[in-house]
Amino acid sequence: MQKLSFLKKAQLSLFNNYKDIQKELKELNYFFWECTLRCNLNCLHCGSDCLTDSKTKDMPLKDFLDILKMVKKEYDSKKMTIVISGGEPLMRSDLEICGREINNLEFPWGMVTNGYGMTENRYVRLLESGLRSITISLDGLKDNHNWLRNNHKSFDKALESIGYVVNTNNINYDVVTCVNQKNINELAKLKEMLIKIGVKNWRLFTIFPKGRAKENQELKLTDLQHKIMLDFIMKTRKENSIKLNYSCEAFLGNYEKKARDYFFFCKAGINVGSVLANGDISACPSLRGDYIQGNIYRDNFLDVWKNRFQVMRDRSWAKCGVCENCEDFKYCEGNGLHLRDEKTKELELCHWNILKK
Amino acid sequence: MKTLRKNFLKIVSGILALLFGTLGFAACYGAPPSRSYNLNGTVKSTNENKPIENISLSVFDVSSDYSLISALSDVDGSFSITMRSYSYSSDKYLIKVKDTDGEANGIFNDKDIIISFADAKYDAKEDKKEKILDINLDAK
Repeated sequence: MQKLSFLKKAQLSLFNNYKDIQKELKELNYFFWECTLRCNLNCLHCGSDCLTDSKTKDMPLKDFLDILKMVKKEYDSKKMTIVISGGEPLMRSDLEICGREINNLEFPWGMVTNGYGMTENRYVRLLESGLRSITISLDGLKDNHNWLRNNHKSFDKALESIGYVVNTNNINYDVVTCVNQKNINELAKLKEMLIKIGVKNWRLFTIFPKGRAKENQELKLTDLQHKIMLDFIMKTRKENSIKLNYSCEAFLGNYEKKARDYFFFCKAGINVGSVLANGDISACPSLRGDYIQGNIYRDNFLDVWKNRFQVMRDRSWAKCGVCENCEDFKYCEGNGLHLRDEKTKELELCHWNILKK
Repeated sequence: MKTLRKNFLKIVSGILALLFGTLGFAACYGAPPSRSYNLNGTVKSTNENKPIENISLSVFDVSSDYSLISALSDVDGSFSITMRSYSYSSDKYLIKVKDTDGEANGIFNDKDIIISFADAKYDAKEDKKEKILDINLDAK
């Protein structure tokens, strides 16, 4: 059984100081707006269980702008990133107006998209509305992407969108891939393809057991496949041909700072906040249910941000189940919150335990 | 006292963030954050070395046609522009400097300037890069 190295423990101990400062400052600097729950795809792994016609109506732009105006009084808008997510943001016909209004309030904004609804005209209009960062999903080569996205045209459309982005200079972007049983063996080929079309930034996720993904075993990696994926990431990072990072979601023990640029730190509720489509206030949009801290139609957002979120800022409660006797808990504080069962609060997936074996 | 402590923590936090490379963090499925670039400076006449008011400065992406932001020089000839970009690795901008107010404040030739933030100082507390650009314009 592998243990944390002395050097890694020293680094992580020092990093804990940074985390403690962030918890004390509680500076909101990464703010999700789930602008819609409607989606033009019906992906097998959707954590939000989004549908083309969601029962939840899109949030009126004005309601979100009111929150931003409130936030601006307390925090420096220019240091914040607004991330428009969904559902699929491109389902909103007023997305450009939303972007422009957010930009007019001096908040830089970005979006997350499956690319299916993107056209060149729309992309240019979004740039003109202040779009400065974008994440596009591409979940494998053609067959496997289309399988996961449940749509035979989705790969071509995602690739078309990526093409627009890689040819734009003044935008931060990355391509995100959800690694699963079907695409794990084609990562090398996918990498070659991405490099060929000019992609510079790539991020890999594993699919967490929520929403539609919960019961689908094809989406869940085995322990060995987790290791294969991380070895692939580290090998690719050494090659310097594309900047590859593992997602922010998991503590990786001795792989920390090797599989991604930064140490694991679940910033949900510390620097990351969100307003969900129905007005719920949370952190990352994957934290729903019991993690909801209030609702903008009922509560004052700033009051909620300043005075609630204890469940995310003090993670001592997470020392239960597999974490209870773990000597590394002080470094990971129970892994990403979205990986914990909402009812029992226990951790459903410990990446470090997998890697230790 | 509370503000002092807050400012101190921000500075320490900025240094630690640099040390640990936490800048550029993208949460969960979120998009990567962009960064701010501040461009400050003055516009003066080449011959008389006097500040020129109302000179338009438009910032463009170097390889495309879309304008990112624009500003006007004030009565002291000074200007301040904040731009957002995606990382500190690609950081070139085209600044189109134009005299747009006709005979008022004198008539000057237009000028295109390419600036790079590659060598600009990074401000850890503010999480931004800053650059000073002093521009001299020739009278027509």
